[in-house]
Amino acid sequence: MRGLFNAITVGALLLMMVGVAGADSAGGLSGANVHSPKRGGTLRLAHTSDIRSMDPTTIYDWLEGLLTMLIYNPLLDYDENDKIVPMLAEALPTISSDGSIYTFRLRAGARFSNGREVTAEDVVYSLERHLDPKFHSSYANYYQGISGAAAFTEARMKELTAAPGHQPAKSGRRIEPLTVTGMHAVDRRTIQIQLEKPDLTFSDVLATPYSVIVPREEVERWGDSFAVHPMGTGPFVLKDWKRGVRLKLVHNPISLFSAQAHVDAVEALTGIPESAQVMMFERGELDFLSAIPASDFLRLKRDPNYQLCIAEATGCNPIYISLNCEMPPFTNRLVRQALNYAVNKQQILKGIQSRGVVARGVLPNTVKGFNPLLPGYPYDPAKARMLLAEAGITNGLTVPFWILQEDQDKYQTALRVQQDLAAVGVTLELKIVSYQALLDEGQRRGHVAMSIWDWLADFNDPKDTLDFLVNGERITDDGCLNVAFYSNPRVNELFHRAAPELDRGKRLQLYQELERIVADDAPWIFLFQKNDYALRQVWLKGFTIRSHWPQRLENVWLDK
Amino acid sequence: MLTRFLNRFIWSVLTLVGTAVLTFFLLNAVPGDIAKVIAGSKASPEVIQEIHARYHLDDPWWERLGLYLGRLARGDLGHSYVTDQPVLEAILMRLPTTAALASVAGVMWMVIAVPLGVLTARFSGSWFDRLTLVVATLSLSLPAFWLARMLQYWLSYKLAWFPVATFQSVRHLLLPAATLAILSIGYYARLIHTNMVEVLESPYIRAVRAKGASETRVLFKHALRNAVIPVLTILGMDVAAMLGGVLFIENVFALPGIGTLAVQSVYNLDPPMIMGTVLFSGVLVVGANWVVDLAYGWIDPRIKTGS
Amino acid sequence: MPASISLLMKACRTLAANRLAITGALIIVASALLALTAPTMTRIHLLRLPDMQDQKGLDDDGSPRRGGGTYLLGTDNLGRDVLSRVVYGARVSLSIGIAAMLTATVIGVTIGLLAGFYGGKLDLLLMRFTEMNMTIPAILLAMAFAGLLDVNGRTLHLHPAGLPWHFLDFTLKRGAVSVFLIIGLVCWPGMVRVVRAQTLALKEREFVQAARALGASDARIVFRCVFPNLLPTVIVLAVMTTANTILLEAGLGYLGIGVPPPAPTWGTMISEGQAYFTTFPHLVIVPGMAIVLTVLAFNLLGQGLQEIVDPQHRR
Repeated sequence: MRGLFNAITVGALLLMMVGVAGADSAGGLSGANVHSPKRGGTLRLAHTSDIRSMDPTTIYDWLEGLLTMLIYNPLLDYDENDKIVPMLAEALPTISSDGSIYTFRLRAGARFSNGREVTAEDVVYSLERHLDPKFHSSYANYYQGISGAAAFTEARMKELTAAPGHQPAKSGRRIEPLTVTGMHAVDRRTIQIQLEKPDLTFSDVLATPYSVIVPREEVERWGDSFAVHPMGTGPFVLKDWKRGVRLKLVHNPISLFSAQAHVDAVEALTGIPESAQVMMFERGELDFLSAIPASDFLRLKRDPNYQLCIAEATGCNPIYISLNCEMPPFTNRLVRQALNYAVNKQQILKGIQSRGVVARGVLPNTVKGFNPLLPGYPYDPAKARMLLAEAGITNGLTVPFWILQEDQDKYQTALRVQQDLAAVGVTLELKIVSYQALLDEGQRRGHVAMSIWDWLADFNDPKDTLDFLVNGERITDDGCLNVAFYSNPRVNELFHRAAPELDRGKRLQLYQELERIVADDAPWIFLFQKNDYALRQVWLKGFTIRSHWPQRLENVWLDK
Repeated sequence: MLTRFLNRFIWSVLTLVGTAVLTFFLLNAVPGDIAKVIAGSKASPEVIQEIHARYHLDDPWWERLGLYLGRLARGDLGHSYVTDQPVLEAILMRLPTTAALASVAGVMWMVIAVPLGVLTARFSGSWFDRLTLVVATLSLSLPAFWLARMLQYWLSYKLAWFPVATFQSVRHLLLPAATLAILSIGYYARLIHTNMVEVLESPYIRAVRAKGASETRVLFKHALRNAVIPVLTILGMDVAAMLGGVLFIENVFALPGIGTLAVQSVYNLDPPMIMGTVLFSGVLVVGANWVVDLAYGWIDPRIKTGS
Repeated sequence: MPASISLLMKACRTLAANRLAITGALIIVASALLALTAPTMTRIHLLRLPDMQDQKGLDDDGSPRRGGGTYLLGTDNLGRDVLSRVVYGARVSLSIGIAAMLTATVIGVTIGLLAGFYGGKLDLLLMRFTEMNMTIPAILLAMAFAGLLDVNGRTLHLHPAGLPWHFLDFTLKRGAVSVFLIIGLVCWPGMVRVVRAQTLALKEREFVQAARALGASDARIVFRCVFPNLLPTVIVLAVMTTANTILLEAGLGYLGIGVPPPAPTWGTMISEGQAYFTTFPHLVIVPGMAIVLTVLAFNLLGQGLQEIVDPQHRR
């Protein structure tokens, strides 16, 4: 009996010592503990709607981006301080003295999850896909600066119209040129890319999730449904996807990046309303919230349990209302300006707990070239009415306004905008749609007159935001990110001049000049630059928020 | 028995056909290309043209109706505008969740409604009876979405007795099923009550009592069986009403069932999916009615012999 | 006709004995009064305007206020007084509920009457048609209708595409009219069965046989003999149906496809407020209670009336 008692005491003492040691290394509430990442566990996320694709040519929202970066890797990446670092590339590219030729070398031992080694041909193929109209890439713009891109796209276009219908992605190309002349594999691991004109942002482009490397045989095998059968070089693979319900990724041991990925699995539950997400999070059913709705923000911020768990990236998320410049009444600049004066942006911002600043232009204030001196549109309903009268609107206006109910902040904003505009005689008819429907229809020409959007910059350069959103030459009939369908020849010309400019100062000046014109043309109601928030559970460590693609969860761990 | 079986089957099919015809006219009233319904909204103009030709979409409406019904008979409900997934496939994927929810709810309300109905009949006219009447009427007056939200807030969020949302285990179904059950309990408890009262006053029961059977025996063995039969009929018809409640409950608790699919399809601007869910729910109701009718015939021998 | 008046008085006495029914009736009358006098009350500053946002209604953080003080039941996400919105909401919900009920009643009674009176093939056809309409859950059908309605208004071509019968083109816009029409179109099947049963019973009564023997036309028989005797049943059905239509209207509003914002309907109030539930539960609880109370009132009144009309059939 006594022996047992002694054994128990010793055992208990030992346990206590281990426990104390363990508590020490857990590091309290600090999230940036780099001492001992724990392996294992399932990271649980949620999203309000289902994702549409994990094909880099068509990804759009935060979850699609997050998952793409778990399953795939690009040549380059950003670290937490926004510096470009090599990822699948061995080192940063060698750039020729005139700035137009980029040479990369792939890291040794990079493999796709099916075991096949990554080659330079894969890199060429992945970037080339964006230029092939068969894949409906929304980001072709990024790669059109490559030499021979235009000719390549044209040739593929001809092939497509000659043989219509659903065709699997075969590599049966017939019309010259069969490849993009500016891009080729020098040897098995070396790629050389030549740009038509030098472009300071090309490295940034190669660090975006759109530039991840995909395996050709998988694209051809799955054809149109490659978007839902991803296969990449990243530390996670797709295990299971019940459309509209749940998506599960599991750890991939043969990736070059497996060692830094600590969790066993990532589970994304889709189709859950924001309010339910918050409740689930507070009950511990989720590990991470990618956004905090205005309704719960103050409460959570003041909650001592989550003191150190709210991550904030200031002002990087512009929220704007697009006014379709090709559809009446927004063909008239005066009307668009009037609406800008009619909306009390400061009050709306207050309604979402002042988490941001009023916008006076297009660029978020975290991006180089942001112009704090833009005049903006102060709240002036009298001026709004005057402008409307000047535009010939005497009996008021009625406009359909497409909004999302699933994004609470946007919904509340929309309700307030409706009120503000009603005060100057503009009646907005609210049409509640899903995110998918908004993307589908809003990016299609001539369908949506007015809607509310947000934007996340891909990288820290004005070209990124401006080129996609307000460049008239980027307008396409479908999948167009310039959702205001705005085109001003002077602006388009400035884009042409700014892109190849190697003098950074001059470049920024040109972009600022064109932003001034855009701000004056008012293709949007410029609302505000919202802060981006993420809320993690106390036990989720290793997360830092970034100002573009803020949610990157490859290297987090669960300390439970 | 067989003739009855066939009879009901034919009427069920005809009812479904009628519903399908109604749906066809609704779909035609919607501007938009039927070809897109078949091919999916991402199809190229050439494909659309080809489908126009192949399916005779420029033909008169009665021919198209015929084609439409033909496709339906083969189980082709078209493709989602949004995901290009076949509508029927999407619905069938979600059916188990809705079925599970309905079944658990069914068990719950039976467990509560039956004893309530029996006891209130036994003590008819008492304060217990009157109270149950008020509570039952109250349960009929609750909006499904409101009740779901309230229960979710108090029992899942505040008290953490149940998970908040989604369907990951049977435990996740308990609160949604309870919500659904509460909505129906009132009605069924009263129904059983009424039937029990009627039956308890019948000559048959008086005879059984005269023979000296105990009260419990009278209540449960004899009276209940006869009282339950009309309930079955109502149950069949009420699948329609129950599906309505399911819609909101699935929405609030983020359960991946047919209800959320229907609601999502409205926001997704997805007419084929909307119509598909409408038709499918019709199939469920008709099917339930048919099954109930057969069960009715089996349970009640008087009906079998047609007397 | 003294006979009817004495019947009416007897009915009232029976009704008065049923306290629950009286409570229901009182609640309905009170809601109706509130609904009708809402604009006047606003003018004398007992209530505030329900539509427009109000910055004073929000606190310094931009959040809604809780109940108590000048805002008796608190304010909502746009600073609007919840109490005023609930009262104005009664206007919308009651008027749509009653309009929908009337639509449903007109259609349902017509079909039930025709089916019961003429019998035979017409009866079979009509009943099958009714059954077809009953197979689809009301809210689902209403959702499909409302969801397919565009904000710009959808032109429904109720004629075959080949024929140029353009007078059958209806442009329905989202709004109160389309909502009550849709709800009415979805609720009428529930009335048919009872009306038909009553008609069948009445058809066999002596005064109908007598009228027929005297050579009265069908129309005369229906309108003079059958219909007035149907009235009590119809009234009971109407009251019970109103409970249903109000619930349906709230449901559509909750889904965002009913009467669009900024109109104050109880359903939209709940959907707009549910995001705030964890911090400001009153935004969901108050309009919900309004719905429950009103619907309960109609149900109680309906049950009470039913006891008068059909004392044995206590269902």
